[in-house]
Parts: sequence; C-alpha cells; structure tokens
Amino acid sequence: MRWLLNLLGITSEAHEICRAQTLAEQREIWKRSIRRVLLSRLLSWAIVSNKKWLWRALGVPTAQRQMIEQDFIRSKTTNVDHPISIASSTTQHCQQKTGAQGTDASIAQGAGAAIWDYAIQTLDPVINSTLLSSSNHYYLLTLLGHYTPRSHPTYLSPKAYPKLSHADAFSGFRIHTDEVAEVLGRMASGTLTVAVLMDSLDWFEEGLEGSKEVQRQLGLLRRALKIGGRVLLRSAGKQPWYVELFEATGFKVKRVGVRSEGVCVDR
Amino acid sequence: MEYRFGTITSFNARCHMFGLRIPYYVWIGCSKDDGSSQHRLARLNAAATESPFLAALDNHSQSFQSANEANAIDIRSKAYESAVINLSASLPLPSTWYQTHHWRLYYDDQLEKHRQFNDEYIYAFTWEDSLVDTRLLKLQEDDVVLAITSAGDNVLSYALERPRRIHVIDVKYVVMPHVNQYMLIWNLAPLKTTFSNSNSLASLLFPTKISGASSAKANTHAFDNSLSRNSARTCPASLSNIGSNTDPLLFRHLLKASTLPAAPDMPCN
Repeated sequence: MRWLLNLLGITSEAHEICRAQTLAEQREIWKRSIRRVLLSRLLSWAIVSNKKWLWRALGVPTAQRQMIEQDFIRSKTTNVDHPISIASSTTQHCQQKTGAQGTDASIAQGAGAAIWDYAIQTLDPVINSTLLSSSNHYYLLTLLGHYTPRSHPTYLSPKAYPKLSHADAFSGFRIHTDEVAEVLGRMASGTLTVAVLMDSLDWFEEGLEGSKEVQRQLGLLRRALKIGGRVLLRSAGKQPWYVELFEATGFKVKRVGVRSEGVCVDR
Repeated sequence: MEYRFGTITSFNARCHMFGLRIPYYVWIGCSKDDGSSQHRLARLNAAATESPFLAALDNHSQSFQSANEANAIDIRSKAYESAVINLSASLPLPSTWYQTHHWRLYYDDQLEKHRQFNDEYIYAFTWEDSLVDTRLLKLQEDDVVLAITSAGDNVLSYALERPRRIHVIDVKYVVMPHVNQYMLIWNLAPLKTTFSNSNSLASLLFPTKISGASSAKANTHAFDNSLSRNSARTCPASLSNIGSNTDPLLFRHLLKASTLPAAPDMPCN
C-alpha cells in the first residue's frame, strides 16, 4: 500500500487525512486528491479488475467476486428490495456488507465495474461518517502502515492491557488449525452459544457442489450449537445464495445491517 | 533427538550478524515420559481401556466429555488420535502434550491443507468492525464462542468480554500474527520488570510495522522482526537474544510460556 501511495504521489495526502481533526477536513482531503486517484479508472483497470490482484492484494476469492458482480448486474436491471427474516429454533444474525447500486456505474464499464462500484459504496460513507485520526483505525492502518496512540483497536488500549495481561486471560482460548467443518465435526454437540463465520461462506461457489458443502457445514454447525445459539455472518453479496440453506437447516435468519447508499455498516 | 525426547518447541531461523545469514536451529525438549503428559494420557486411557482406537471411543465420548469439559483435549481430538498412533510405535508424543499451555491445539503441520499458503498469511488485520460485533453479540461470561480467526483482531476484542471459551479456527498454520505474538507478550507482561531498560508499554502496543495484506510474505517477516526488535527481551521466540543475560529460573519461565508450535520453519525472528 505504501508503495502504491508513493507511486501515485499521494503519500503526503494520505498522512494528512490521517491527521485530520474534523470530518469536514477529512472529507475535503478525500475529495480533492485521494478519492480521485484511488478510484480513478486507470487504477480500477490495473488492479481492481485483475482477478489475481484482487486475491493477492485484497484477499477477495473468486466466488466472492462473482457475488459482487451478480449484485451489480441485478442493481442495474431492477431495483429490488431485499428479503428479510424467517423463523425457527435457532436464531441467526445475518449481517450483510453489500455492494453495488446504480450510481456512477456508467463511468466504469467492463469486468472491474462491479468491484469499482463496490469500492465507492464502501469508501465514501466511511470517509463521510468516521474520523480516521481518532475512531477508524481500519483505514488509518491501511494508509499509514501503523496504528497511532489515538486510533487503534480496542484490545490495544491502556484499559485493555491489565485485562489481557491477566494470568488467565487466554485460558479460555482454543486455537484450532483446521478447516471449519473439521473443527465443528469434532466439537461436542450442543456446546457453542455463538459462532462468528465472517464472510467464510462467500468462499463457496454457488452451484450444486458448493450447496452440498455449505449444507454439510451448516448441519455440523447446527449440531455443535446450543439451542438458541447465534450465528453472525457477513457477506459481500446483497442476497447471499446460501441464506436459504440456513433456513432449510432450521435457522431463523435476520438481517441486522445492510449497506445502502451513503450508509456505513462497518467502520 | 525428536525420536528420543519429547519436543517442546523448535524453530529454524537465521542469524544476521556480520552481514551473513547463518542458519541455526533451536530445539527444546524434555524427557518423553514427562509427568504431566503421562497424567493426562492416563486419564484419557482410563476412559477408553478396551481399545486404544477410535471405534471404542464413540460410546464413551458423550459421558466422558461432560465429565471433563474443562479439559483442553477432548477425547475425539486430533491430539488424542496422534497420541495413540505415536504410543503404538513407542515414539514420544506430539509436542502439544509436553507444552504447558494448551490454547494452541495439536495439528499435523505436514498436511498439504496447512501448507498451501506457504508461510504467508492472507489477512494482516481484520476488516470486520469489532464494535459492531460487540454490539450485536453482547457476549456473556457463559458464552462459548467459535470464530474464524482471520488476523485475530476481533478474537482479541471478544477476549475483553471474557466469555467462558473462545474457539478460533484457521486452516493456515501461520495463524493470527497478532494473537499468537500478543498472547506471548501479554503472558510475559509480569516478567517485564525483571529486565533492565525494558521497553515502554507504548512500543509494545504499537509495533511500527503492520501494514496491509499487500505483500503478505514480506509483512510476515516485517511484523515478526518489528515485534522481536521492540520486545527482544520479552518474546520467547528470540531466546537467542536473552540467553546471555538470563538466570535459569527466568529461562524456565520463558520456556513455560513458550507456545510456539513445533513447525519446522515457523517464521520466527
């Protein structure tokens, strides 16, 4: 990232945006330089539309990219509202990070258009509503390469230090090195109360084989969960194809956050 | 040595003194009949005396698990399976059995699925907003959480809520650049006063080199290096640095805290 900022000649601007004390100041810097450069067509063509780069630099696997692209196509053709929630024994929070809606779409065409649109939908609200220098360490880290004493994850705060350096702070930890399904399969049934799957299900490809895998995993998850246990997941897709598999397995699905234009779901 | 003794930990590294890159190998072991491992094995064996193999275990697992819920190694675990195999060949047990901290569960580091990412990690930090997670999950003391590790940041923020258990999963063996290292540092925090001119808290808390996932390989090393530079006297990974000015008691303390898996080419220092 640092190399990239250097190449684009916006290193000093990046440092400045990380120092901005007010949202207005931050927006100003964002608009006048960084946004223009980062979201330029040249960059989107060179990096964002390149599948290998997406994986290497941003960790976006193929299946997830396809979800974003599908949403983009859908948003261009219709303006569908998104379905929410059904019911059963176990509850599931389904939080979705969502992608594209029609804005600015005409500017970028081709393979990278969907991802490019996704980036705009993600970045603009973040810059508009959270201050990098004090409360958004995620983007601060990407631009600066390090945290600052004012902007950092909660676990690095002085208040967290005594808690985490306590002798048995990590006695409850179990670090498993294996696939999710494998770990779930070895877990005693009815023990988990919370499962955080992040966007891991986005990695499965939509289709018969992917469905089977997801179904197997959900079966194992259901077995390992206590009744009333909760699952939190995120997805890059607006309507993840596997949500109906959750419902079929007996989960109650509830969307607790969705990004639409101008709304910031995650910092 | 690995055939004769129990391996506690081992790692490969290079010494950069004099502008050379001299490879060295550190291996720390113990008697293969170490007391604590014997004790734990005996307990497991008692629960499954008919047959050491898995077919017999299914019947027992249910009752056994509830009786030993606090036990780190449950009866159907991979650690147990590997222990049975090693014992039948009268080899020392896998290193998990000799280590004193069991937050890192046993895995076979030679399997392709753990090696497919080479020594790289994919996510240098976690993008998912931990505040959103905290707000939605409202973790309680009796919660048992299962989470995908990613870079481990969110897992650490869950730890602040002190749920009863946190299971973290990753298929890569170079997991959790933050968690593994920070755990070591935090775990050694009480020892810090022992060292002269110890680093300030700030330098521990804000290692200068964490960057995006862009060049994962380089970052792994940058991160490790920055950590061991910032905390050369507190990170057991850099045993070589402390060897000269350490008293044996402290050294033993460090060993105890050492949780590094016995991955032969664990990127360390």
